[in-house]
Amino acid sequence: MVKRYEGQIQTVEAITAALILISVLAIVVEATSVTPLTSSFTNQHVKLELQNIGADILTSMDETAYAGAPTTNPNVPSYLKKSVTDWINCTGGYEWYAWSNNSSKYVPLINSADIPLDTPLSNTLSFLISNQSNTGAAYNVEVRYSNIQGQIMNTKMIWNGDPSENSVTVSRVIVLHDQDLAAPDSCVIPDISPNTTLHNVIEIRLTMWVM
Amino acid sequence: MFNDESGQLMLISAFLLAITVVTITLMLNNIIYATNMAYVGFMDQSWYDNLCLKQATAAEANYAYTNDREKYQEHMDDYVKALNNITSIKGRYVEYKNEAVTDHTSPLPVTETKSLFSIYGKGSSISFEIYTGKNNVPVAPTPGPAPGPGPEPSYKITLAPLVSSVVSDNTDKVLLTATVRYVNGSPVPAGTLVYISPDANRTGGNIIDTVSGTSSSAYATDSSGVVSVYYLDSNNTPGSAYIYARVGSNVSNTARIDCTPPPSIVCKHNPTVNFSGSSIINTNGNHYEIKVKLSVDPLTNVTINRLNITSSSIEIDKPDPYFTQTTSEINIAVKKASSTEFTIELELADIKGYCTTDNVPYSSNATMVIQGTESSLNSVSITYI
Repeated sequence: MVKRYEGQIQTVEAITAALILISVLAIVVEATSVTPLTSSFTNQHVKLELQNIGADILTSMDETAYAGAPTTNPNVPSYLKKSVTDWINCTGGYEWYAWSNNSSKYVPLINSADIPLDTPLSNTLSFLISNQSNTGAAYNVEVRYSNIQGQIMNTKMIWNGDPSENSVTVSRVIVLHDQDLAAPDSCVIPDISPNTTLHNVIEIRLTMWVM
Repeated sequence: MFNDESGQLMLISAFLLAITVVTITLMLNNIIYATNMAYVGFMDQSWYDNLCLKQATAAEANYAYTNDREKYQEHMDDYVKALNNITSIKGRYVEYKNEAVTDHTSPLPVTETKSLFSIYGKGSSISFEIYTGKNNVPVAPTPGPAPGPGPEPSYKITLAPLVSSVVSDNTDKVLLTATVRYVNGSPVPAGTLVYISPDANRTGGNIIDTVSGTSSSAYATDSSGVVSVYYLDSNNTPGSAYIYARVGSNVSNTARIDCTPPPSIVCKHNPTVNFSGSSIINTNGNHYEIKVKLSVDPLTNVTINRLNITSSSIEIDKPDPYFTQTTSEINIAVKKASSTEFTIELELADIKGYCTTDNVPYSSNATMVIQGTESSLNSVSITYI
């Protein structure tokens, strides 16, 4: 009888030890799953990639003179500035646009009679970020400026919806001059220097996020 | 007892082994995680923003010097004020101190402005010395008049348009006069080649010689150091052309020409059908064929949708109910009659057309009276209703 009890106890102990080891292995496997591919880290990585893409887009477009003109001629706008002035000269800067997958163009959100947005920036964004490369990213473009009283204003150029909490924003400063605008006195961005050819200083804000 | 202690030892060993493995695992995992953690500094955009601000400021100083020289300081003051409005919400303050607006030779060949641009952030600041000058302008490998060996002489070139706008119909033109002097004011020799060209941002612009009317890459000055050219624009869209003249590496001011498309042709919203000729053909048998030639406004494409032809003196045999600009002829076949004189009345109803310039439709009605004999048409008259 005694020997039978010992055998049963040893069996229970062996099973207990095995369960402990299996539990430890399970904990170890779960713990090591925190790697650079986990969701929290990947989110940071994607945000960094988006930020670099956005900064590259704005920088390269601001560094390139429109239609291959000499970059150092101060009267020749960059592709980025041309995008802003085209938007202003077309609708006064009062129209918002959203990308339409059905029509493959930027459609107006305020006045449907306005013509679709067709600027170097909008075309570059639609090509590089979301619509044609299927990166799954979305973006908004806003313009920030101040009025002559120094108040900061913000208006939308491209609005594809509210960004997620994990969005990133990059920006670039652009200087507008009176000669860049077809109707400097009636556009959404006011003239802060009436005595000079300076019109205003604006900040192009590109917000990107992964949908 | 011995067997019971052996089981307890095995349990304790298992616990110790488990704790050891967990500890080592957590330590390794912590090392792996820490070394691969996204560094917050990677997301820092402050340097990118600083360089952007510096570059925008340098470009603006260049622009203000080129286009707003008399109000340079006010221009830059307003610029910095507007810039501060934007950057202040990011915790940055910028300052621009203009140190020189002049021509001197150091450190660049021709320095136009020298300034100190400072950016103040949270507990840090950075300053940039900004120079703008003519060496920013791209220089093509073209020879200027080189008076003997030595370095290329410096010129002062002014380019003045007679008017500041042109109709972009490739016909209207603006006279541009480039005056070339040496920097010390002395005149340059006749025949000095001046390269005048518009920027490539506007296609359709053309520079031609005022005398020959032909385009060339360079134009020679006269004995006064002056050369005149015309600028024509065929772009047919609104915009501005920026033109500059160059001698060697010396570049003039930029002349801005505002280009406006030609006014659209106003459509005449009344169809006009005019009599332009006629003939009467004595065909074989019992028929005449009367051809009435009409002309229409060249801007329109007119269709007469209803054509009623009646006559009390002659029997109409085969009216032609259709008329367009391309077939501007009405053929009317009539039977021979005993009377040699006849009168035919035509009712041109629902004359419709579309203006070819704006596609606006219009319509009107008219009557036409044809009088003649078997050998000739005496008169044709058209009255619009």
